[in-house]
Amino acid sequence: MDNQANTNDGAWRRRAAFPACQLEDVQAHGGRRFVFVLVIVLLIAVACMGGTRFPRIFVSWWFVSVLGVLALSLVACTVYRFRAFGRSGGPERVRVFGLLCTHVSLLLVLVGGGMRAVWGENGHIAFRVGEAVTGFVGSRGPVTLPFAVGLVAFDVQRYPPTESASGFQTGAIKAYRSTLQIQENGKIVCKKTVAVNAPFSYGGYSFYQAGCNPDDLDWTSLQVVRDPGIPFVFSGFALIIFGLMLVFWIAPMAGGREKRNIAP
Amino acid sequence: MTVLFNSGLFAYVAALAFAIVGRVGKRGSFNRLSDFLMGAGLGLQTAYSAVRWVAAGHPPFCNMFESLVLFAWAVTAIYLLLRIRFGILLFTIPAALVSTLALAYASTFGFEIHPLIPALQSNWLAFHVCACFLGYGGFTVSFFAAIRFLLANRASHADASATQELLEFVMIRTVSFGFIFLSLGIVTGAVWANTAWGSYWSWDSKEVWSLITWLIYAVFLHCHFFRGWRGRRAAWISIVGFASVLFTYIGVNLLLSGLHSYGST
Repeated sequence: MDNQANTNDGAWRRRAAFPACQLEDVQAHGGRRFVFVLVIVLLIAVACMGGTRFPRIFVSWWFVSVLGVLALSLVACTVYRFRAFGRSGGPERVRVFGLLCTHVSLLLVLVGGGMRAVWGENGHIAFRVGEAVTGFVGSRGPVTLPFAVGLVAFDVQRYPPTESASGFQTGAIKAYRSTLQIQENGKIVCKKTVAVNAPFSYGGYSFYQAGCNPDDLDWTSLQVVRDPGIPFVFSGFALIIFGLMLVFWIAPMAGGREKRNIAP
Repeated sequence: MTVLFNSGLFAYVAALAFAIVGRVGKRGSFNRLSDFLMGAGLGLQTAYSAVRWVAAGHPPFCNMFESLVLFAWAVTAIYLLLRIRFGILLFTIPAALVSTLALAYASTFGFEIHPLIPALQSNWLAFHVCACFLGYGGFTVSFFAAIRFLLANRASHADASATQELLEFVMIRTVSFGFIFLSLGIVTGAVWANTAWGSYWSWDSKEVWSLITWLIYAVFLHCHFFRGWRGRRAAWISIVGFASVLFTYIGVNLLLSGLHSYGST
């Protein structure tokens, strides 16, 4: 049945410029270390499954410790790959560099996430038009802002009303916006509008449009976030995509095809 | 507009019928016909989504109906990519079957277009959803190869080893493809979430399950490239990974709640 199903067997082989498993790689990755990391990764996966039912797992000491162990093993992996990169040459160098990037990127994301957990702040402020606040209740107690945030205006935009069998219905909310004003030492420094998907950052704090009350259109709530880990996390994001493209796309194009088809 | 949707579905049903008749009756000429119908289905679906995009004024990737349409599109597109680039004919029946089922399931949801809620009004929407579904599509085709590998492994015939090698190749290649796009989907989702929800990671159930799926395929890739796992063992990881894809996509919407809840309607 496969004869008939695959009329041009061999065509794929000629075009399959792809890194097959390589013997040196298999030998270089020691059995015990590999099993150890495998167990760590599977433990994280199982904990995550449980965490969708019991979210407390994600902030438990043991889950955070397991993530820490993963970070340490990524450090070890990075050191190993850095040495392998020094030894490598030719097209292989691209692949090893890509692998270095993907593993460093995960480390960056974990470090950035840790920075948010340790030094980050996250809370809400709620006020009415004309009011101003100089602080909020963060994740670890009250936080005083180095400036004052005032609500100058707030408005809600709706989709056109719809007419259905049950009658005339008000349109769904299309957008809601708060116009904020920053005051430092009694002087107005800047004025800016925030909306959902369009936050505003000032002095290391970001303000997100969070809630509104359809019955009281002078009131709004904002989410306030301070996250010093963002540069690490976002550079990790860019690096992982770059690394994966090197490993699975650029390196196979650069490398010879026959050389890579070594089966262990 | 619905005409385009229905004719797309019809093209996939016809492709499936011709592929089955061609397989059972050993008629090679039917393959060409079912491939043409798969291509026609993809074209009709693309036209449907384009018309819907224009009519709605936003990308048509916002609810369960629209995501199922996109899923059928991704599976067919990846099937045709493998077909054109490598001449692989093995997956016509499963690809046509999955696309048919996805569109049939989609038609049980409403066709009407809803206005976009503020959180979804972002340029990231199209990138994030398309990247995720190209990932899902790659993993689905890898699952076809894995199932086929396990079935072919039982039967013993002359050119079994050539087929097995081809199936291993497809499994690994599609997982790699899916892994890049799932990573891209998670990353774009995280960057978007940081703008919309004030945090790039909220342990939302969709986020967590996509991480679980990502970890399973990361294990697959490491076991293959660094431990030399092939054949049956690789096929089994691919199957476990696909179960996780299904749960991430459908299960989370049906069984769990979270920030991605608009996916359930």
